[in-house]
Amino acid sequence: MKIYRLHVLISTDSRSILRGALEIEAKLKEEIKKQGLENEVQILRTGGWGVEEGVQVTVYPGGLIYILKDEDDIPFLVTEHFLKGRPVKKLLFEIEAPPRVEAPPTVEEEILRKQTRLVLRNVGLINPDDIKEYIAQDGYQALAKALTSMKPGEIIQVVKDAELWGRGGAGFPTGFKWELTAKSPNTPKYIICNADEGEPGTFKDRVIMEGDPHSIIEAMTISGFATGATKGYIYVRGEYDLSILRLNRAIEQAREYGLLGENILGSGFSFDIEVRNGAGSYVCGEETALIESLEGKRGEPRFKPPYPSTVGLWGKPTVVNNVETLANILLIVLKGADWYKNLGVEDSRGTKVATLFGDVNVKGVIEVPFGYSLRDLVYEIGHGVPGGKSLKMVQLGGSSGSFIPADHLDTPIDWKSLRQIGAGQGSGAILVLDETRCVVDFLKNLLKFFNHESCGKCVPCRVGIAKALDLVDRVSEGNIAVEELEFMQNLAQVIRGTSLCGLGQAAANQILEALKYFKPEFISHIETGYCPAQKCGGFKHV
Amino acid sequence: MSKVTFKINGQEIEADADLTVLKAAKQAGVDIPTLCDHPSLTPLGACRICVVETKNGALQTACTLPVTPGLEVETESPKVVEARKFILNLLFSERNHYCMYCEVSGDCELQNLGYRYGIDHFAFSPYMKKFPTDFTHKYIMLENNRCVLCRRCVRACSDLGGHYVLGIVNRGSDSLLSPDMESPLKSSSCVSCGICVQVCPTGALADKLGVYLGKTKEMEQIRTVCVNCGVGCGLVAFTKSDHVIKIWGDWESPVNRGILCEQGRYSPLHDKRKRVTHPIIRKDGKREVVSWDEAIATATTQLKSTKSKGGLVYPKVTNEAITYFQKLVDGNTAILENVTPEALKLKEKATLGDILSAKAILLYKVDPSENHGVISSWIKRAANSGTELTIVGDENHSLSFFATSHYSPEDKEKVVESFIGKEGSIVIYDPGICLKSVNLLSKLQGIARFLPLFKAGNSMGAVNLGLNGKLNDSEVVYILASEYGGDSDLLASLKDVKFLIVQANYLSPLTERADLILPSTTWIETNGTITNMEGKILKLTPVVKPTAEAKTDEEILKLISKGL
Amino acid sequence: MKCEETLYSKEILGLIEKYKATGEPLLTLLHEIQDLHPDNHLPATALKLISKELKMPVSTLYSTVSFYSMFSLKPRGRHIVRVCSSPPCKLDGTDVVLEALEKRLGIGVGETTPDRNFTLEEQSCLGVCSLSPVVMIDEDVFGNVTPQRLPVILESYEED
Repeated sequence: MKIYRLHVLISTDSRSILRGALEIEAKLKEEIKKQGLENEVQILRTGGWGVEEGVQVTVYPGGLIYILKDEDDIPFLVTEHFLKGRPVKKLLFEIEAPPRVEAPPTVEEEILRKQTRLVLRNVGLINPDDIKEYIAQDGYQALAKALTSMKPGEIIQVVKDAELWGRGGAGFPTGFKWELTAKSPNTPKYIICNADEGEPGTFKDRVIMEGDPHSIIEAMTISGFATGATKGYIYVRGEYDLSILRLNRAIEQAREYGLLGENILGSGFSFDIEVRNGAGSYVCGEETALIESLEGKRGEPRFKPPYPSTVGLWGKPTVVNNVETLANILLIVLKGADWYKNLGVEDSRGTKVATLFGDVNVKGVIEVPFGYSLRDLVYEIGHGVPGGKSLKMVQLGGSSGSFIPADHLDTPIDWKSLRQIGAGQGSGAILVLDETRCVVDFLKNLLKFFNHESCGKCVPCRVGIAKALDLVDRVSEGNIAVEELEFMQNLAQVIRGTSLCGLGQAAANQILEALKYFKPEFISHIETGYCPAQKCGGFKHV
Repeated sequence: MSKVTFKINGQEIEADADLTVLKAAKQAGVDIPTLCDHPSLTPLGACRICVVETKNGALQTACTLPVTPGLEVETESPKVVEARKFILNLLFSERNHYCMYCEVSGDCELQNLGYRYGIDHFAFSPYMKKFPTDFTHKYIMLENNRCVLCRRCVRACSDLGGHYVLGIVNRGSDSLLSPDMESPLKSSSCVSCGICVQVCPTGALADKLGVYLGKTKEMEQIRTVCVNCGVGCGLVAFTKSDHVIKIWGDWESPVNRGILCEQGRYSPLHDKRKRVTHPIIRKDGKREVVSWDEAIATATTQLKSTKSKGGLVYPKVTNEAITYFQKLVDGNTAILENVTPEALKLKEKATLGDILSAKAILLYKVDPSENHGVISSWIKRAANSGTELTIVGDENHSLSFFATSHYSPEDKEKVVESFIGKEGSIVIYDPGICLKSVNLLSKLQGIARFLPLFKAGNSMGAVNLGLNGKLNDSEVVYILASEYGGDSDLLASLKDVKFLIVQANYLSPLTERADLILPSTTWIETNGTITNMEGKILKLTPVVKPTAEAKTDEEILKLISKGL
Repeated sequence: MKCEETLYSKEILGLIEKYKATGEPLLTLLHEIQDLHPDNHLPATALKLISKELKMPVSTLYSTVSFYSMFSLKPRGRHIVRVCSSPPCKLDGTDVVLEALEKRLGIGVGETTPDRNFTLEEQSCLGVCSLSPVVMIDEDVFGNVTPQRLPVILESYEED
């Protein structure tokens, strides 16, 4: 086996590729060859960390992160760092941050100090197309442990004991879900990985799928063993080409290694996985709509009960778990419930992968234990709002998430604390809006989105959202009476109370929360035509 | 079934554990309004009108909520009423619901709900977007602007009819009801069974014929049985001023459970054939309208004066008429349907219900879509739920899409062989098949059950009453033709008959040949019984008064036999 | 033309055959059949063929296809320009970009240029929210798009 002095990991996820990752990779290879370093430096492809500018290149040992934007910098980098061992400071990952008194910490520290990378532990560090690298990072150890030394009931128990709650948005206890399916007398049973990540502003699942696809396969197989399922499906958004490719490749490799398919690891347990793609429908992220879609039908939600745990895919018991939820399983199985429970806070164990974007200095994918406050995330990890503006609100959990106004910013991200202010964590997307943003305009765009994505099956969602949009349009034009805001609120309450699935409920929530926190802004639109973004039609300034 | 106790509006109720709140409430006499729900369709939970409030203040649709022990629901709480009002307001403003211009005004379920919950103005800006209308179909109009997207029609078309013509295209507020691939109804795969119209709660799908002919409330509803094929579907005729305005399948009928085919629902309304209105005698080559007395006297005289008389029956007449008739012609009778006596001896006989529960179906040289639309529906439904369907017949068989396998008649031996061992299968065949086929099919006796597809409503009754032999040569022939107009073979065989009596509904080549024509009532004007193909005795009730001087077959035969 | 049609049917049948073996994942199959057509859509002839082969009623199939935004029942251009219209992108001026695109291409959303080169569509979140507004042309994603950058972006897709 060849031993290299340096390992250079270049991120080749879809975003990096459009920023020229492939060209940069070619140039790197060319330069390395030119300097005669091909036997000393190994180039590996990985997923990105979600750093947004340029192409991320990580060099080990040291773990220094470069952000390359220009091919012309490469000869210098190769000569300086790879040949002479002197890190090139001007290419290191830097953040636009307010100046600090103390000496700036190293980039690596800066990014990781506040984070705990469990779910993302392999992302950016291994080559997702090579099962060997995954195995080298203890990959498939959890599966081996589960199959050889645990009973299905024990696995379910440890997941229950770890208090792992679903990361898709609803936060249902995962172990309980598994138990329902395990107990159901019907067969066959199915495991579905919900990778239909359509929530605007959310791309955490894609980062996992592109950077660490084997972790999902391993976790699904464990789930299959625990619940008695024999077949798994990963339902991936139709737009996620690279995820589909990497997952399929990973599945093939796992089969080759006997880690998937018949008689896994000689345990007598057989399980297989297929990747299925969506075709452009947000509501398919709802588990019953996803099941309908998987069955080749219109992605319309089913009424509940019955729940998929007992009546799911093709009417059979089915576990539906989000990508991130599954990624948590491995460490729970490997290290136990007690270890896992040490992370996070009461009622919210483990970590949360989040995406930070909008009016914030540092954007990207982060992972922190539960209990961090939004303020910490926005100001510590995200380094605050650009241009010294003040923060108006955060939308937590994507377009179906919750409005968190500036005065609730100290709320820790955990289920209990968020519930106290009537919010939820949703998908973990953190969209920051500064003071110049208009809530009415934002709400209008949210309702347009939901109106476009409503499946049309139930009346309150199909008609109610369109009519609510009509009302909000009239607010932005100032062509409505202030008293009608109450009617709008009542409408939203009925939509929330009577919609068939979460889509209608989420849309209504946006209206209710906008009115709850920003009613004066609605009133000022109507009465004076003042719009903070100067966007709305009724703006009567001179 | 285990019982569950729960509370509706504070009142304790015991119900079967597999019921929904809606069904349990109905049994207990509590009325929960619905729109997308229909008792004959699987619940959808789409319109949200039937929401009820549970103990924790949540709103749940009664049509999908299973009863559970300790459940407490309120069906008209302030919260429920407010939600229903909002939903109705939304629906009224979604599309064109200006009731006064709609032909189903007065019969519309949306309108009724509007009155019930006091919707007296548009709460939202009314509809802006126009949706397509489709008036191409012979019987049915599709007006998307009046559609509430409840999908009763879609479910009925697929789940009850098995046709899968109607579907929803697009999504969200662009959703649209559409046949096939947004094709016009006329050129779509629609088989004109009309079940979509029967279940539509608004004026989105309506019978063209009944437009502006009045509200259902003002009509009389009479149940009778269709005799157009051997199935014997129950139907409800809606009449006004002694006219049939529309026909529905009878949801209560154990035979068809609500569905009909074009023959049952629309043919009677669109019948353009000319009726025989008075008794007519041919005198010296000329035809003359005569009184009933003279007609009866002539018939009596002719039947008395000959020793060789015979009778033919087209089996759309009642059992009672056939019984009288046999006496009248001394038992020398035959049936006007191609029936091979040996073919009827195949055992065991299947019932119609067996189609839906069969493991495999063999369609032996017969296409039920031609005359037996309802059977065709059941076969489609069975095939859709996984029943193996094997067809022996032409390539362009109407059910070939649904078939698991399809063979040409030359391969019939092979196919029959392949059914040996398939317990729980049924064979559907033409009762007029040749002896060779009968012998072939007899190999499946003891394995499969058999269902001969009789063509007329009372073929089975006629056969049971002994009408399957051949007619001996007769001088006087009496034909109980009902709606039958004869074919060239029949007319040729009557060439040497000295006196021909034809008792018929319509003028036809057969009445043209007759020496005496007696006007009989059609099945919708007749009472009596028929026996359907599975042996059920079904009762006909007259829906309208007899046309002109027509009398029922039974009446006429009684009058004649008095004189004999 | 006749010959081309037969060839097209054959290719479709080939794909159906391939997926019959793996439990007929309908959406995947439809994606591939759509990609097969030079006009980037699912024509009625293809749907009829699928309906016949999979024994799926044509109304059900059509209904399913019309539900998903990635499938088109109408012929589209060689290149599909998709503008992310999710709320986060809208914050950063999607509307301005869309307007500029409409002006430059001379078509509205859902329409195809007369030379059949471009079809303009709105697209739900692509998960590149930190680069908003985002435009996707075929498989390529462009972030931080401004009306000024559009000519350069579109250039490489324009017909020579």
